[in-house]
Amino acid sequence: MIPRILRLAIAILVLGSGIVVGARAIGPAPALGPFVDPAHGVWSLARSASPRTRQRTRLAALGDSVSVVYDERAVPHIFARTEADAYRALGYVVARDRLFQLYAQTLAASGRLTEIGGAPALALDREMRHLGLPRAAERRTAAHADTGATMRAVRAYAEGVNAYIDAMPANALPLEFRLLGKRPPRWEPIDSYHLLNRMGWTLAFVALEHDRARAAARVGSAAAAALFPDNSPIQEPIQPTGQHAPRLDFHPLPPPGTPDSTDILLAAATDVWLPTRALARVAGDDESARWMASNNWAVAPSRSATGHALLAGDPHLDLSLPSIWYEAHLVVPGKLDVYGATIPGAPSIVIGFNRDVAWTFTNNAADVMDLYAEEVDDVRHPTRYRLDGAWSSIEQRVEKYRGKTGEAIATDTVYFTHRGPMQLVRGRWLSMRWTVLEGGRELDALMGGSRARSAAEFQDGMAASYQAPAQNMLAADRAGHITIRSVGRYPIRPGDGSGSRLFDGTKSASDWSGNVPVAQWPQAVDPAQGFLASANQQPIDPRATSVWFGGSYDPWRALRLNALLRTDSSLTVDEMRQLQTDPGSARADYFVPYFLGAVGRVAARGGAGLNPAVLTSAMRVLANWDRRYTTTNTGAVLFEAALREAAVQTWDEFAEQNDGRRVTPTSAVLAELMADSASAWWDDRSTARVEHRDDILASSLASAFLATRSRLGAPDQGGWQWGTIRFANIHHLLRIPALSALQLPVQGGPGTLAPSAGSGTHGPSWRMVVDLGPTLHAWTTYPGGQSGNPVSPRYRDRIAEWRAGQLEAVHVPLAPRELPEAQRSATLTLLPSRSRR
Amino acid sequence: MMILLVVAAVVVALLTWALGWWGVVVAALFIGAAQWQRRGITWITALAAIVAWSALLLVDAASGPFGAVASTIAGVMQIPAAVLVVVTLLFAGLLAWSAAVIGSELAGVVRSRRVER
Repeated sequence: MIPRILRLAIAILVLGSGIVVGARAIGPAPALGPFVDPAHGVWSLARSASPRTRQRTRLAALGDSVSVVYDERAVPHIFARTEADAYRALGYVVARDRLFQLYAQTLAASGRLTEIGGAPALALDREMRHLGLPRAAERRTAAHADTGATMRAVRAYAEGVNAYIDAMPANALPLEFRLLGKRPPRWEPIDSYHLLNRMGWTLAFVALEHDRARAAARVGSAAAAALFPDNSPIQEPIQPTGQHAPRLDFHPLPPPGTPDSTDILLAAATDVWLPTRALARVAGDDESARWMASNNWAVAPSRSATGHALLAGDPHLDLSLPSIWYEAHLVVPGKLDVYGATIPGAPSIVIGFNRDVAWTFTNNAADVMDLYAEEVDDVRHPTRYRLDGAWSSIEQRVEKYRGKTGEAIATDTVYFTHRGPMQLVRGRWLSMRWTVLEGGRELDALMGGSRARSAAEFQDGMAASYQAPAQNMLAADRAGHITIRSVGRYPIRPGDGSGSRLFDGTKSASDWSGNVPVAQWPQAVDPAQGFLASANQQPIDPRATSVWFGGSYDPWRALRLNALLRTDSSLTVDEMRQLQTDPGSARADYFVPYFLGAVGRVAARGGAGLNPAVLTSAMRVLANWDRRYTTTNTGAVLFEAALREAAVQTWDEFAEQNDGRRVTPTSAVLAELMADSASAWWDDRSTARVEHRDDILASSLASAFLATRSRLGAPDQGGWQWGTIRFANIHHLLRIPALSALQLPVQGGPGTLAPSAGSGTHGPSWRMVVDLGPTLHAWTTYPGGQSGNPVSPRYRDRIAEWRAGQLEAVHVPLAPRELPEAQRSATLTLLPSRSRR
Repeated sequence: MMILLVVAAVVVALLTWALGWWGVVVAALFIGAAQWQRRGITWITALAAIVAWSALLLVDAASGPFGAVASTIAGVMQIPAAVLVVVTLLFAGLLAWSAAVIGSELAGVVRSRRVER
């Protein structure tokens, strides 16, 4: 027998330990007590995995009852009597399905990730705050009159989110909050503006100036300007030119020159202001990651098999679980009937359709960020900056960063001139002006677009209010009209209009003097060719405009897309769908003949020291390749390796720098160089002899073949299948592997319409096809599911169809009764508080 | 004894529902104090806590995809799902045993002082 006193001592020890472990988080592990409590803890998530099939609940701020019917795809169809009630209900249902996402993206956008990530997240938060994004959100919120329609909608949405939080049963607390030991804070209207700014940060950043400046420091300004040109050497613009083929604007590239570090301050500024963006884009060996890689296109009734306008869109963004998109349908009889994808936190459908108009966006990579060299009174503690010979006050903003338990972990002072935030870069204060920080009335525009009755009305509304991030907005309507316009704010700069330089901040004459008028934006309405398409290519042929838009553009997908659309004069809905995952590549079509020709010529010359058997084997693989990136394809692996090797060998002048980064001209510039077989750029500086194009291409192909064979085995052993080396990786917001969908083989590769970039974390985030006939039909999908609850069957239920390139038909009922019982998965009735009735 | 076990389990379950995991501690203190003279009450209380939490887990399992919850959490924690269930029940059992020991000892001390007076 254990003596009683010993037993008591053990019991006290066990209970004490149990209480400590139960009540306190230890390291990354959550407090055990509330976590494993079967009544309210993580196990109770089973009870909230799926919404109750019938639920009635009160939402105090409602003016009238709202009926929400979930269809079998878990899409909520919201039927309200007023728009404000519709947005309240939208806030409620989004919170119900995506509460942690709302929280996490707000922290990310407002520079508060340290509150869940601690000090390791400090760099990310600093980037947000030093860019002035939280300040911009505050200013935008304040700028909207409290009584304005948009602010009413934003507030209504917040009321919906908060009503859900207030009424949320304990068992519905999302898993991530439990893991972090957090409770959801109340949703504030400013959080919607944080979200908009975050989209601007994601989309409205161009590394061209950065790359060009770093290149100039190696090979001189003239060469750098040619290697990182303002205009794409391959022109297949969004605004149709009337030509039936792309224009190759190829010129001999000037040879490497004397290094010129004049603009290196520009590159350094980018590194300082946007370290994560700059690093991701510059360090990536796959240029697909540089662009957002979105596509959209529409065909006029004359080229559609249905006889109606057809529209397709697939915006490519960072893939995440839950998805950035949430599918919903809002109906307010006589006022609003809009279906599509909303971003949790935005009280609006962003991409979608109503009964008359469908719309979708691709990113426009115009240069909308400029830098100014400022003169300040005190470099260490600036309080004033010089402007036109007089001193102006610098605004100072103290930014505090808090840790997981609210403790202060860092404090910064961020300085602002009238242009925007300042940074000390290599001993020089620079300020930055960026359209994202001066955003327009994007929510007004999106809400207005939801009510548009024609494509023209949609475009006019967008042009009037939307500023950033600039988007190529494609719209089609039931009358058969198709339109596209690159909508955004394009500043007018002094001088030649270019923004690719460091401006003199001491003169107000350096400031933007206005905005490019709408009439000069890239755009088209019902073109003679009968279709419109954008794929992040240069929006307008520089021959057709005098405006400098700047930017960096990908021509390959546009080449493929336009070629396919030109050849099919009677597109069906299913063909529109298939185009979204088309495995063909204009990039491969362009480069493969050069490789094959080079190998043939080098072999005829005796092989230039290369192993003839290797060359023959490599050529056989490449020659037999159908130039498609299907998952079972065995030729794409070699081509990609060879092209990458060719880029490395060709651009050896830009060998990796001390910081591990390298700048590499785009494959479009490499394509331009192909036309000049004896250019000095082909020469490998590490050898005594002078190499030409064929030498480099043959050598690259041989090297790639050997490396691939070494890594994956012989080509006929099955290891060269594209699906075994290239994957989509859809990470959970907290990057927890068990909550992510990783290593998913997908069709598509660099340069295809659904490009899979190196890390696979980027891709088609939403796919939609709309047939704008008298009765509207639409098909959609996205990689993920409607629920943000990882244990819900709706968490990742769409991934399989997304991978297969399939779409699902959507329901667009006019009233709740139009959705039959068999197509319903749940209903939710939101009632106003009793006192209101 | 069986009746006591069932009653104790019901008390633990109800208090867990009302107070969360602290309910186990409160219930076990109470049961230990109330039955301090009963031989083996601390083990009965521990067993009752395990039974009570098992019953609550069964309610969860009957209400939704319990297997998915278990495998998801186990994946996050990088442990087998069964271990997670065992940890849950063991946590309740240890809390209950230790609280019951303390409750019964406190009750014994109080009773003996009263007798001394």
